[in-house]
Amino acid sequence: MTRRLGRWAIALGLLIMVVVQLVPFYVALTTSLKPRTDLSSQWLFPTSGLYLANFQTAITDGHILRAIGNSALITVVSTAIICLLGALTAYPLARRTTLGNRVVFSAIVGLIMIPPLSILVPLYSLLNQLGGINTYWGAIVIMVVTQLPLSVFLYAAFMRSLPIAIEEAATVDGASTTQTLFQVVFPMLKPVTATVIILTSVSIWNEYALSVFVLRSPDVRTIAPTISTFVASQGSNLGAAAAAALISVVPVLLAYLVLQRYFIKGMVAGAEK
Amino acid sequence: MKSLWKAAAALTAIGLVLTGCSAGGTGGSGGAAKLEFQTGLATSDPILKTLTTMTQKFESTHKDVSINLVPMTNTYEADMKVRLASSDIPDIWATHGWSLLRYSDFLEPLNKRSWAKNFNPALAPAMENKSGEFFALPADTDVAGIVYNKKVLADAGIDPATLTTWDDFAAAAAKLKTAGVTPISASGKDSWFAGNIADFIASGAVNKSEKAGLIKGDFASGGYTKVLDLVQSWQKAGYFNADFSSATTDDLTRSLAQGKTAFIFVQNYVVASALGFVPDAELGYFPIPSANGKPYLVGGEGHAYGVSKTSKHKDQALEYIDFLAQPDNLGKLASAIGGIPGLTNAKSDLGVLQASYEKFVKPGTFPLDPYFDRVYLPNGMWDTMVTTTSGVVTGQSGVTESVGQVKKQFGTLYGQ
Repeated sequence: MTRRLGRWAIALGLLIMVVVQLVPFYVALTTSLKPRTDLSSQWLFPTSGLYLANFQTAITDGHILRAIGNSALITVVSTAIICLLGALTAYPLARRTTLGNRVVFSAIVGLIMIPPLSILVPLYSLLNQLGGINTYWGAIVIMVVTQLPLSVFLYAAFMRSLPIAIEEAATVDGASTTQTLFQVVFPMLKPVTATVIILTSVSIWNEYALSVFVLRSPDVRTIAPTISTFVASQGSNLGAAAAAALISVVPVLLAYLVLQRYFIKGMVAGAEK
Repeated sequence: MKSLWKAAAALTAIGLVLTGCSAGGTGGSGGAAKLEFQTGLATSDPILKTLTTMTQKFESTHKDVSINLVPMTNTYEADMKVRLASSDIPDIWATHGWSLLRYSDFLEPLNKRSWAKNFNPALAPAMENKSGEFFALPADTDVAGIVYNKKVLADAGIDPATLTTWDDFAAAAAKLKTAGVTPISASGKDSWFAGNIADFIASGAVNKSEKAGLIKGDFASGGYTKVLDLVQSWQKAGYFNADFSSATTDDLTRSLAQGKTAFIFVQNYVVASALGFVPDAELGYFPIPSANGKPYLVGGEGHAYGVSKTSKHKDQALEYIDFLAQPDNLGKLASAIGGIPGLTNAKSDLGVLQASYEKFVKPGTFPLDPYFDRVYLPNGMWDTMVTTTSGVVTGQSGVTESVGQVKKQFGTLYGQ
């Protein structure tokens, strides 16, 4: 009896969490399907037929499809670079714990604490002088630079937990440091790489604070700044903004549904000992 | 695993090649001059639609010019500050009330253009410097009072023309509250709105000698105390909307259009937004009651567009501005804004605000005061005005401490 009650309680708790997670999507859906003149509650679906003009506005005026492509490109390239550079940087920092390396590691990790907006003007000036404003590579450089410290921290922490005996065995077998790194250490980084990919790609996909300044042209704007162009201080089009947000969720949702097996596998890979 | 790393490396290489080949910007290569016009408008703003149509017409007759109308978010002001500080200046940009005081060092003077003779003289105090130079094409002349819902006031038996003192206004607010209407709606979420309330009242609450003192750097607290005393009295009487902290400007205009709110202290452009919710809403504006005399209107520069003096395509940008200044085009722009044209030879359709214009503006009986903060307070005071007024509206801070904060900030910024 007690066990059954416990199960019900767990089910109820999960149901509440699901509802809480889905409420914003529900409100976005009802808002996107109504014209501006429909003043009914945002909790209700439109009674006088579905209004799809908001989706049309999001695509034609807001260029949301282009923004999704831009976000995908910047996210994939940045995440790949972050994984590669993060692992390469972390290896010597994890394995050679000299005083210099400890200082470098602390400095890199300390960068996580710097709020990106506090360096906005110098960062913008530098990027402008390099011709990187409104370019994909400019945005990628910024994403890599801001996310790299976290990646280095995660990789270094994971590498320290790996038994050094495996690398010593490789050395005894005649492997060079580079061979040891690429053929012995990197294959063992699968679990932490999954974590880094998930953490950094989600941050980059949703990034707004810096992108809104660096990517101003509609040709290169990513999703978050594009949606925000429907919200200005003098007047907003929340219906179109909601429609744009919903459209931009679709590719992520599809990617997750197709790849969820790998996502879950990647997340639990580290637990298998 | 090895293949994963190879795939990642290949992907990165492809991405870098792709991204290396792409570049935005406003370069002038390839023959056509590409101009960047920062509009400061939301993507589906009706003013942006009008500008887009006009720009397409201009481009069809100027094949060597391409103009990129860039929509912006509510970070527009911050974005412009960053760009000016970084010398990455757009060719043309919306000056949002600051063509003279903030942007004139970066803008080309326009007083020598052929259309300059039609510059509305009412804009001169706000837009012209001592040498008679002005730096932006005024699409409209901003004339603002207290925006109200005509039906709500008529139902309560209130004639806005009779609200000439703040006591009259408070009596009307009490009547409206009894009738179940929110007398005044304001937004604490939009981080500018509350400042508007103080700004509107201050023009009439701060007397002449105090104003003269402010220009010299002396902050006499008396006038500003009157402003916040008034706000506090409305707060204590429960005249403000209950959702002040969470409401956006859109929520206020919607509430006004629906007849749930009677008054809002904001510029007339919000009427277009309100009519988007309720197309047949009856709205108007009336002069602001004065604490020291006759009611008045406030105003100055509204929507205006300036050309960067360092633009690589200055001539083309000026040609485009001349095109916008043609009476027919300017009239259409002013109509989209719902304002009085900034040039005297253009005519606009004021829509529902025509009646208020005929009654309160056209006869010229009510003085048009410039925005208080732009003339009497140093640059940077706006944020303090917003936070202190918000504090009083929410009841989180008292009048004395808020005025003290304003005075302290005035001293700091004036010194700079």
